[in-house]
Order: sequence, then C-alpha cells, then structure tokens
Amino acid sequence: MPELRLTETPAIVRAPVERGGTRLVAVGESGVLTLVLRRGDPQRLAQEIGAALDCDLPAVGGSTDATGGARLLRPAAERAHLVTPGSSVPSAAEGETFYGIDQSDYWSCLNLSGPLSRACLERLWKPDLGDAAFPPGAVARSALGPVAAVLCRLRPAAYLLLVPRSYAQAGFDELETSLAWV
Amino acid sequence: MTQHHRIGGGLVDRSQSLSFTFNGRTMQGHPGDTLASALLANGVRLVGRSFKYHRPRGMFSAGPEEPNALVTLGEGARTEPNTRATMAELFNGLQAASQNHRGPLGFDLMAATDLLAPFLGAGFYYKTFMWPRAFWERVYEPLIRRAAGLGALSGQDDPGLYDKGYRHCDVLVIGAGPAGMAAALAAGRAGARVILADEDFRPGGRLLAEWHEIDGQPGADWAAAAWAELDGMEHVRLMPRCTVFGVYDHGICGAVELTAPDTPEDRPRQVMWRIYARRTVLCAGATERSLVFPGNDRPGVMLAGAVQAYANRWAVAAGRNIAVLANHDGGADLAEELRAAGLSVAAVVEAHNGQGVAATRGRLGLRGVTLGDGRRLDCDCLAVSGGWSPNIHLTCHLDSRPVWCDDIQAFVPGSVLPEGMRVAGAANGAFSLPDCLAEGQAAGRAAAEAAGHPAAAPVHRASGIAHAPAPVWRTGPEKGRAWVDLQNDVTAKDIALARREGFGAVEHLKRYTTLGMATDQGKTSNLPGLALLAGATGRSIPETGTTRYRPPYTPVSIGAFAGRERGRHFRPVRHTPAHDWAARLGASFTESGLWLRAEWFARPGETGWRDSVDREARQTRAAVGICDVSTLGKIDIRGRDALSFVDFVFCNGFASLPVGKVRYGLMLREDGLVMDDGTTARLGEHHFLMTTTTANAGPVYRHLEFVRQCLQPHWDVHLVPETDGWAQFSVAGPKSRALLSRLVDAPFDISNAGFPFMACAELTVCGGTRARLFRISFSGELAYEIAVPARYGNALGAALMEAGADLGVLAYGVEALDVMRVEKGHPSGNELNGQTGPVHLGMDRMASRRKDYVGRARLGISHVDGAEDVQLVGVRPVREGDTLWNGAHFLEPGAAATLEADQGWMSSVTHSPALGHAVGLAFIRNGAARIGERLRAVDLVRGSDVEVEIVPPHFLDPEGERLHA
Amino acid sequence: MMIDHPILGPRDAEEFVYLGDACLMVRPDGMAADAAEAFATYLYARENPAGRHRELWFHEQGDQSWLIVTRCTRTHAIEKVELAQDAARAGVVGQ
Repeated sequence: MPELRLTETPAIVRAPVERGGTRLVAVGESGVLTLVLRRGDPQRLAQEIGAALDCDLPAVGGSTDATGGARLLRPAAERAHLVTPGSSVPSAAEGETFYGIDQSDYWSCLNLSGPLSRACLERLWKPDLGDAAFPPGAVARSALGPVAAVLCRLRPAAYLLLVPRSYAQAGFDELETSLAWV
Repeated sequence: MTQHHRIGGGLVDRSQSLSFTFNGRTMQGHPGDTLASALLANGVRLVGRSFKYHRPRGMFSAGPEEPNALVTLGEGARTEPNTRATMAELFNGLQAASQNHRGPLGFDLMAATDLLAPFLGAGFYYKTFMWPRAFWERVYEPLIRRAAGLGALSGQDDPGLYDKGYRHCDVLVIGAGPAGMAAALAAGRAGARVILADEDFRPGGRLLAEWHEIDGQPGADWAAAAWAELDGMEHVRLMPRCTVFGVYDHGICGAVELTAPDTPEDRPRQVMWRIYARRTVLCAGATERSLVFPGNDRPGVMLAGAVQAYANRWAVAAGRNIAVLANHDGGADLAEELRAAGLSVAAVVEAHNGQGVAATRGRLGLRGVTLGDGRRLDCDCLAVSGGWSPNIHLTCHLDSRPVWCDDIQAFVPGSVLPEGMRVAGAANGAFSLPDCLAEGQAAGRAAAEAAGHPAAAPVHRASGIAHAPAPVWRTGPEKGRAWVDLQNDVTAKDIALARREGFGAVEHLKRYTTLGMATDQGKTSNLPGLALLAGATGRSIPETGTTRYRPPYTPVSIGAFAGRERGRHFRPVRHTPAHDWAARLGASFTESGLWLRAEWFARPGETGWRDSVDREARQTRAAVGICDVSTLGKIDIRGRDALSFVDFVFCNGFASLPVGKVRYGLMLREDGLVMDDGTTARLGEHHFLMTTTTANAGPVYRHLEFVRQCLQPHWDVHLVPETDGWAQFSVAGPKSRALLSRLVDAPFDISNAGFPFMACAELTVCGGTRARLFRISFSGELAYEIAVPARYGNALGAALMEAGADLGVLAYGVEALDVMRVEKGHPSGNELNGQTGPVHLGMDRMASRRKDYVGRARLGISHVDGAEDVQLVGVRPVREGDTLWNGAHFLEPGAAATLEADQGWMSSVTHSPALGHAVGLAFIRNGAARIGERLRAVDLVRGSDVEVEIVPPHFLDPEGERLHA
Repeated sequence: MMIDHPILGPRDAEEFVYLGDACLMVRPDGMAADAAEAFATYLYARENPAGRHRELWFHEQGDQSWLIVTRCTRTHAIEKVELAQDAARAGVVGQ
C-alpha cells in the first residue's frame, strides 16, 4: 500500500474582491488557538497567559499583539482566540486558569480593509461600529446577517473576521455583496 | 411638449429637461419635479378613479398624505402599483399609468357604480350578497374581486434589489424642515453623532413651499446651507429619501431609504435601516386637513398648502383661476402670495366667518363652485385648508395616546413619549417659524447634552405667525354628497349611517365605514371624520378619541422587509468538509437544515434512487461503506467536574465510563421526554467529546450552557463547540477494520482486542495527521467513525476510497444510512420527536434510578395525550410485496378509522435490501406485549390499508454479533 | 429591544434566545420524594405578571452567556441585566 498523505482543502476558495480601494480577502494560512478562560482569579489568569503565550491578556472586547505577528482577541470573559499567521499554533497550552484548543480548522479568517469597509459591515453587523464603541483594537462577537463571526478592528479601516468554517463561503458572499452594493 | 402651467421661480432645474410618459403620452419636466408637479405643469389634473364610485380624481396634496393620485409606475416585472404621484421623484424615462378604470381614464365604464351610490353606502356588504347562497362563491366573490383594489401587481418576480443595514447615533433627528434642521445643527455643532433623516429627496420641509426668511436668507437657501454644513461634519450622517416609518422599543427606529432614481439596476433600490438612537428628536411637521362640503372630491379641489407648494417649490400653477376656502386667516395670506406669483385668485371664502362652499361643478375637473350665500363662482382650482394636524404618529407607536389641543383644533403628542424621544416644531403643535426653530434647537441641544455633548446655543432669527383655525369642519348643506376619506370613498353620510346603526365608537366607525383604512391611513381624513362623529354623538373630539397609530407611517415595500434574504441569500448553505469529494463522486445532495448532505451516489445504469440506495446498503453490509457524518454536533467538554456534568445531562449512567471508551447517551428534557441522543467519548479523565444529532446541535449546546451556568454554577466545566472543526466519516461493514488498518499510523492497535466495541482514541493517520477514532455503529455492522481536522475532509474521503478499492469500498449517503439504522431498529429524529420518552422507546431500563439528572423527576409521568402507552416496535407487511407508508396509523382488523380506535402510528419505514421487503418502526399502544399480533397500517391520505405483523424492532442481528466482531 | 449585557454593553435582542421565567434557575431536588409534583410546578406553573418579570435570555450570537433580565412585560422597559451564573453562584435568583 503506497503511503497515503492527506492534503489540505482551504476553507474558502474565492479570489480576493476589490472595489473602491477596499479589499475582501480569504486568509489562506492562519492558525487559531481558542482559549477557555476561568474567571476565578484574574491576576493569576493574566500571569499564566503571559507566561504561556508571551503576550498580555486583553480586556473583554479588546485585543493585543503577540509575537510573530499573532494577535490575541478576547470577545468574551471566558473566551479568547490567538490568531497566528501561518497555520501552526502554540501547542495546546494549559494552566490552572485556562486551557487551549487548536481551532485552526473551526475558524476561517477573512480580511476586509479600505474606505468602504465600515459601510460593508454596517449592512450586516448589528452592534455599534462607531469609533467610541469600537475603536481600533476592539473585538466583538456577533453575526454578519445569519453568519456568526468574531470581528476585530485592526486599524481604522481594516478588519479581521473569524467565521465558522461551514459558514465561511456564506460569510464571504455576504461581504462581497455588501462591497458591490454600498 | 410645453408646460402650460409652469410659472416663474421655484426650485426646479430648468436647465435640464426630463422626459416622462403618463398613459402613453410623453411630456416634459425638470429635475426637482415630482410626477405630480410635472403632470400639473403640463395641465394634467385627472390622474385616477376613486376606489368605490370610480369618480374622476386628481392631485389633492403635494406630499405623503396623498389620497387620490395613485398611479402605476414602470412596466413588466418592475411595475409598482399604488405609487403616490406626489412622492415619485421625476427621472428621465419615467413611465406612469392611471389605475382603477375600465376603458380610458376619461371614460371609465365602471363609473356606473357611482349611479349605484345609494346602495353602496358604508357596510353595504354586510347587508347584501346573501341570496341566493350558491351565488356567493361563483358570482359575487369573483365580481367583487375584479372590482376591488386600486392598482394591480405584475404577477412576476420583483427583479429589484433590496438591502438592510444598521446604524447607531447619539441623536436621530426625524425630519429636515426648520425644526429638524435647527435640531441637527445644534446637536451636530455640539459634536454629537447625529443622523438626520427626511423622506423627501430635497431637505427643507415647508421652507421649500412657503416664503420665509431665516438669518436674513430665504428659507430654502437657509435650508440648503444648513444641509451643506451638516454634510461637512464627519460625525453627522444625512439620510435624504429616508422615511422613518416606525418607532420601537429602547430607541430603535425602522427607516426605509430609497436610493436615487438613477441608481443602476445592479444596486439596491431600497435599504431598510434599523437605527439605534440614544435620543430621538421628532420633527415630522404637520399635515393639512381639508373641509367637508358637497362635491369636495373633484380634480382641482386641493389642500391650500399644496397649491402653495406647487407654486413656490415647483413653479406650477395648480389652476388659472384659484378660489381659496379656509377656516382661518391663512387663506387670505395664501391669496396674497398667489397673486404675487402671478396667479389669479377668484375669491377667498372664510369659513371662520360664516362663509362656505355649498356645491361644486365639473365632471372631469373643477369648473366652478357655489358659495353658501348662493353666489356661483368660476374657478378651476379650490385651495382648501381646515387647519393643520401635527404628525404625531411616531409618538404613539409605543402605546402613548395624543392629547387634544383646543387652540389649534388638533391632537398633539401626549405626555408619555417613547424612551428618549422629544418632539419639536409643527409636530409638537408649534406652527410659527420662530417657534419651530426655537423648539428644534432646544431639543437638539438637550439631546446632545444627554449624550455627553453639551452645547452652546446658536439662535436663528426669523419671523412669522401661525393662524389658529376655527372649530369649523364642514360647510354647505347636509344633503349633498360630501367626502371625508377620499381614497376609500367614505362620505359624511356614511359616518352618520354608522352612528345610526350603533357603530358610534371611533374604533367601530373606522372598521364599519373603512374611514382611515386605505393606503394613506386617513392622514387627511381621520380628524374631519372624528369631528363629524363627535358632532353626531354630541361629544367633544377629545371625548371621541382617536384610533391607534401603528407602524409603518407610510407604505413600505415587502421587498425592503426581506432585504437581500431572497434566492441565494435566503439562508446560508453549509458545506461539510468533504463536500467537494462527494460532488466529484457524483453525489446527489439534499438539504438537512442548512447543510447539504449527500443522499446517494448514483452509478451509471441506475434508473432511480432506490437502485442506488439499495446497492449502497447491501454493499456496506457485505464489504465496507463510508459515509460523511461531519454534520453531527460535536461539543468539547472539559473541567474537574466534567464527569459530573455529563452524568447529570444524560438519563443513563456515565460515572463508570472509563477513559478511552464511548457510550450512547440519551438526553431528556426536564419533563422526562427525549430531547436528543448521541454518543459521548471520554478522551481523558476530565475531557469528554459529546455528539448530538445534526438538527439539535444548537439547541443542545444552549441547554448544556443553561445547565452549566444556571443549574450547576459551581462546577468547573467548560464547553466549546467543535462541529465545524472536524471532518468525520462513518466506516461500516465487515471489512471496515481492514480498511482502517491501512490508514492508522503505527503503533496504533486497531485489532478487536486492542480497540474493542465502544472504544475511542486520539491517534494519527496517513503519516502524521491528527485524528480521532471511535468504534460505534449506527448501521449495526462492525463500524467505526474516524475524524480528522476539517481541512483534511476531502482528502480523507479520497484516501479511504483508494485504500479500500480492493476491499470493495463504496460511498453511501444519508438515505442508505437511514435504511440501515431502520433495519437495526435504532431510533432517530422520527422517533425522538418530542413526544416520546425512554419508556416509549423501550429504553426505560437505561434510565438510572440512582442519580439525579435532567428529566428524572417526571420520567414516565409527562406524556402526550393519546400517546401515554405507546411503545416502539417493528412492523413487517404480512404480504411481502406490500409497501409501508410512514405516518400510517394502526387499526385492529375490522375497526373503523376513528381516533378512539387508533392503536398508534408508523414512525420510520424503509425497503430492506437485506430482507427483501419493507420494514417499519412504529409506536403502538402496549406494543411490547403484542409481538406477533396482526394489525392494519392505514394511510387515509394515500389510500393505503396494509396488513402488518408486530415484531421486535431489531430486524437484523438482534444479538449484535457483528458489532463485536 | 436592546439588552444591556453587563460585560459586552448594549446588544440587539435579536442576538438572544428567550427561555422564560427566571424561576427555572431554582431547580427542585430530583431525588426528593415529592419530586414529581415539585417539577410539575417548576415546569408549568408561572406567575406570568403584567409588569415586572425576571426572565432568562441566552446570548446565542454573542458570548453564549445566560442573562437574567428584569423587564416590564407591559412597557418592555428593562430595569436590570445580570449574568445568570453570577446570580446563581451568589444564590440570589428570587423575584
């Protein structure tokens, strides 16, 4: 029996879409380490995360930079996602106050950037996208229409989105439609 | 070609000409025109026929309150019936047609109904069309249907695109007239996040229709400058052509925005916005009302403010010789203004001084009136004003009632308003320009301050007064036909009739006469109607009260409510990680919730789905088959109390489950009936992986979080959904072990001893790919489920097919999956339908007595009426060739088909390729004790009546030998 | 409606799934002798007030937390929003 090796299929097979200086791209290679955070001892939690991942634990609704171009997103009190460029994540870390699950296959990543980004999101996203409520660095989990998503505002006009894999094409479609229509 | 009625001035762009057609006739207008103003400019004033009596009708107003000028825009699939000509922004190529007539507009054959008017009063249909009874369905109803309605739909799919959106602000200002502009300026200059919405394509409200000066500028110029200033503010969002149609809880408003008429067809034509505002300032202005007098419905009888707007904003003379009728001094002011614009004024009739109009003449358009003192007057336009009603509608959408204000003879907002809302300007009953500006500015400031942006107070200088109307609602003799609701053809006599017949309460009056129930929702007619009712019942208007105001304020296209959720966008499609692999293999896909799942894989030569499905089931049982089961829910459960948690949510015991083993779990609701089932694997001491059925993945997760957070908050247990992250294949059949042994990496021991029935493990496959293996069986064969991270789903399917080629491997879909599980007697969604518990399923011994768990207390107690004592059994047809139907009910031989005789129902059926005949699973009363008994399976819908025998529900390998092989 | 999530701030009620009266958090002892009757009350008996109501909402599209919302069923005015787990831990769930 010849050696069988399993090849990978990307979550979204779509070319980037561009209009009005704004670009929607499916990120080909990225890793997502989902962290389950225990709420009991915030100081200990921050310390353990710092030691395990070499980055600060953000407040709920925020994000911080991690080494190697990675970003730690915190959409909830008990949940964080370390998003890494390239598909390998730190081996599932664990501590007293947290544990990690490699969810690189659960979440697919999209990038939306350019002057029309916010208008695109406005057609789908119910929470406030304004500068006060959602400044650069902010993170929130809600939905793009019917598609669950974690949204991170990387810069004033650049966003990262995490969408569950089975909905990835639908999420891309919705944003592509918004970009064509705004 | 020529616009005979166009005069000088106005706010239209004469440098450009727009071509449009009405009833096939081509005419010209200008940018800034509405269809109504352009028609009037061309001397067209007959635009439609009334609803009931088919009377000739023309423009009545210049705004959203228009009751008469309803036209059909566009053609073919883009037809839009019942469009108010006063709100249709003119564009080049606009096509419009009149509605509700047979034959030409000028000679409507249906006008004969006007002669039947004495028989068609309010509520006539409650007293007629009763005899003979047979005529109702075959004669009367079809006739009424053809006569009813105004415009007609195209009958084709709407090709228009619609979208939705969500906007947040500190201050939402509704209306961009003087009050709204002042409010937006105050709030915007204070730095608050402002949204200013106006239904018109040009902001300014009545400043565009009337002559005013603000801060030394003409009103329209001031409005344009204010708009430009607001446009330059980064935190201010301007939304013209945007009607805020409804107010909802907690500062949420619904608005529909029309895009500009020249928007290309591949962009949305309307966008439905949900606006979240911390504070709302309602500056919706006021709507003028008419007076009730005989013959007040002819083309040419118009609201005075509209005549003014046509003259000042659109440079259109509504008539060559205009008479003015008003119950306040505004009539005289208007006459002066019209004369100054070069129009001829025939008379000013002062209803507040005892004068009035007693009759009108002119069949297809007004030619003259008869005054109360008997004088006859020639005129082709009668400008009528009965005073103004503040547009309070939005204040009442959340259960507030307006209050009566005698000073202006109108209702004003009540004291309790929607959360965060304040009213300013004419909508608040303040009709003078200085008051509008002052109130708007104060409201804008207060709203900005409440949102954390305190402001200075710029003041706008203007002068102007308001005229208080006298409480005069009708003129002329009572015996003439005087209209109240123009669109639904309700007359003053109808109101008197309703009152006489006992419908004297305002809500009854509305329904009995249909006053206020047309597409204009009585904007110009509700108050005159109330006044007449009050007079007839000897009460005051406030005592009579008003009917409720409900959203939408003006009509909203159904398409806008749907947004983009149509066709491809109606629901998202979820693909499994092995979808491409299945498609390449020729799968036929079926919808399973949002998922696409392969139902079977047809081969060349197969003529129907049965060929494929039977083959797949047979071959899997003979050799090995693989099936994509990735859609089942997967929930990762970890924590020090994970075991206690799992033991608490299943009715069967899990405390003894060793690491490396998986167990079937039956999950109950607290009422003791089954919620879901699945398998739960113990991957580590504090680590479990639970599966759910595809459909229940979401609800089960929600339930588990409820248990975790609300019922057992002290437990250390955490849940992470993993459904999308793994591709999972069922590998079933006698050769399944042989197949998998070719994929698993050494040194994993997949032998029967090394990996027995109900074992689970984490391992690697295909040279290092992370995987999980479970030895579980839905088919009853020796079987496993193998999971890899989702990105390898397609590759795993291909690898299994390649590795198993010489073993006879094939792919099977959900149909064959179902065939095999029915043959084995496994319950599935059909059996776990929310009506059944462990006792019904024959699983009562599985339900533990020794622990507390969800559902324990009501186990065996809660039941569905009529299904208390049913039990799951198998059935087979006595005559082998007979077909069994799902949903059939069981009767004893000779029993009548009644509910009392019902013995139960069929829940799952299949043709069994293994046995060569149909088999079914059924819930039969006391079924377990009736093995061997014969009943009839009766399906009255399909006309089937088949004799069946009750058998145990396990048709194959009841001892489970294959499972343990 | 807007629900002011104690951690995430105001969110549209459409992000949530409504369950019902917060009395569902006070689960009787399933092993007690009178469990069947106690659970019948737990499952089916409700005050159903026209007014102040403490009720459970699940933030399905947000952080998957359960919230206790104190809302007036007449006016929809929301008086208070709490994390159900915190209230459950503190033992304060009652009306």
